[in-house]
Amino acid sequence: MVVLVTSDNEQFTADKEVVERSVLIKNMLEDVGESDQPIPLPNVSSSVLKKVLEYCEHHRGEPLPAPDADSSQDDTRKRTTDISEWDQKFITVDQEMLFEIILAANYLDIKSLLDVGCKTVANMIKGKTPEEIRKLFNIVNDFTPEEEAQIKKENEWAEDR
Amino acid sequence: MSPQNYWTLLPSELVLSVLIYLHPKDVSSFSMTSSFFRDLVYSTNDTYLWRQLMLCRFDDPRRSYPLVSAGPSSTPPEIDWKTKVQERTNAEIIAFCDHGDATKHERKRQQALETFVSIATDAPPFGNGEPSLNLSWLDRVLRESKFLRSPCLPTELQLCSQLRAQLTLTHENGDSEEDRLILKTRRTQSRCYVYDFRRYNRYNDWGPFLPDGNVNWVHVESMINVILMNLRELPDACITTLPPLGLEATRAFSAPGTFRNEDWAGVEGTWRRYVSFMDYRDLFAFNYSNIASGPRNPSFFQDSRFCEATRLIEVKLHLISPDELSFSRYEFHSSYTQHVHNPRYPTLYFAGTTRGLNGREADIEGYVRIAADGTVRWKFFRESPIVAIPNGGKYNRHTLSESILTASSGKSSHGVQVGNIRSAMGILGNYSTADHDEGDPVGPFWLYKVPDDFNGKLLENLL
Repeated sequence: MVVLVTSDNEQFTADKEVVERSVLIKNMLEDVGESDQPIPLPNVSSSVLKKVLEYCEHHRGEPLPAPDADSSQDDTRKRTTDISEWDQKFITVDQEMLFEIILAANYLDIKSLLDVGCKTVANMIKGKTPEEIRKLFNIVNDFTPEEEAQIKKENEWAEDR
Repeated sequence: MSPQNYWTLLPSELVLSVLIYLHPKDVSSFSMTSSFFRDLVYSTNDTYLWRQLMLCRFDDPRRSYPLVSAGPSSTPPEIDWKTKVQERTNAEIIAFCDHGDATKHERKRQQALETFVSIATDAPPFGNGEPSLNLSWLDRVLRESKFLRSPCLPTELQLCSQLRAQLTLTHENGDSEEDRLILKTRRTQSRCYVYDFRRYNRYNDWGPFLPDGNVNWVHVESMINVILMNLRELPDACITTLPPLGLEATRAFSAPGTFRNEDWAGVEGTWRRYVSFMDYRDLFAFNYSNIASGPRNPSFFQDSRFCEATRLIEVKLHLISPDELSFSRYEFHSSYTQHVHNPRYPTLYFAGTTRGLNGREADIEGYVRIAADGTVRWKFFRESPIVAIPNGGKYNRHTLSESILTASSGKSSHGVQVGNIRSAMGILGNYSTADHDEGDPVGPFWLYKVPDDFNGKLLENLL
């Protein structure tokens, strides 16, 4: 068992196989060796870690991506925004939690969870107008009228007639 | 407290991780929400986002196989990922927009068509069974948008025909009433084009070319339509082989067989050649007589008694040196095709034999080279053939049509490879006699590579 400590000082205990879905934790454990020392996760709050561990528990035992499959590689063939049914249910959370999960998955280096989070946000944007996107995410339109004209021209290539 | 914008939690690289899952159109909308996101999408020298947007939809352009290179020493040019994504996205949008007023969007439509053609050209060579992303994208866009079914402007004819030639009627299977109507119209138009004597003259070297020497894709498409529609009418039992159809069959090296290194065009081996033709009396009547409301009237083909003949013959070819050319030696100088010396693809000369259902027919010779427009051009010469018409009443009434195929003067023909070098789709061309007399028989053929041990039956489906 491995003990994790969150930013708000809560302790979580989980199977090694579960927490090792995080490449960050996996590497730490390998570096430290067998130890009962709790692992501090100063960038993850307890509410988020609870969700993350739920995800790792469900996907325990599944193969991890090869360590060389770096995100800088152009491993792009057949990239889809499809999300499995369980993942979809899992990621049905409020926006704050969704963005926190993306941050945590990135920090903990859990590639598959990061993908689920990014795809979910992408699916929220799909097919919407700029105004609809602003409204959905509370983005403030800070363009001056001159800039508005300029960005309209800049985006002519994507304009529907 | 005003509602929060949680995007501010994410560092830029995570925002980009979201954007790479979007359609470029959505990336554009997203960039228009605020100056921060606008700058992230546009004001960066980092090509990551645009490269990702490109590569998850299209083949890596660095793997393409251009036949006309910028120069012998040119290093691969830096790829402008942003421009490519934008051009292709725009072409997709144009294809799906209302085509009611084509003239209004003339410039954009032209750009879209050029983009479609270049997407097909940029597909990487065939290999390891992986379908080309470019070609499946193009197939989907053209199929779903029905862009090539809407009327096109006169200036767009060549590009539209080039794309339709590559699609080889794979989007028109004849299942729906709309399909059947389109096929019927195209068939008549194509017959009128292919069997019109005026289409063969010294300005186009009696071949499917334009006066400027480029390929006349309207002609090539018409030949494809004529042959394919004839093949579709044959009983299934007659058909032992079909030319490979669809965009995948245009890829470089997709033809079967093994080739020696110097055989860049995939000359050597066994081929099949479908030939379509009209009875000579019909051909004359269509071109010159006043029946059916005057010469070359489309209604000529509406007559239910009208039909074309189809033959399937075997062709075997091997490379020779130019010194070994025999009967066609003096023909080469009269040839019109633009010469470009391409050190990578030197002109290849070949010789071979043809065989029909009734045995060996004639010796052929010819050459293949790459023209200035980047197309692979074939020229065939046929020796005065062995006239081998079987005795017996059965073939008597076909004597006239047979005489087209065994014309006493030598025959020459031009062919254009559809797609890249060694494409499975092969070569479309037209035959005519070498001395180009007015009224010489004309008609289309389709020559494509089969596996060396292929032994499918040949075919004589005469009139």
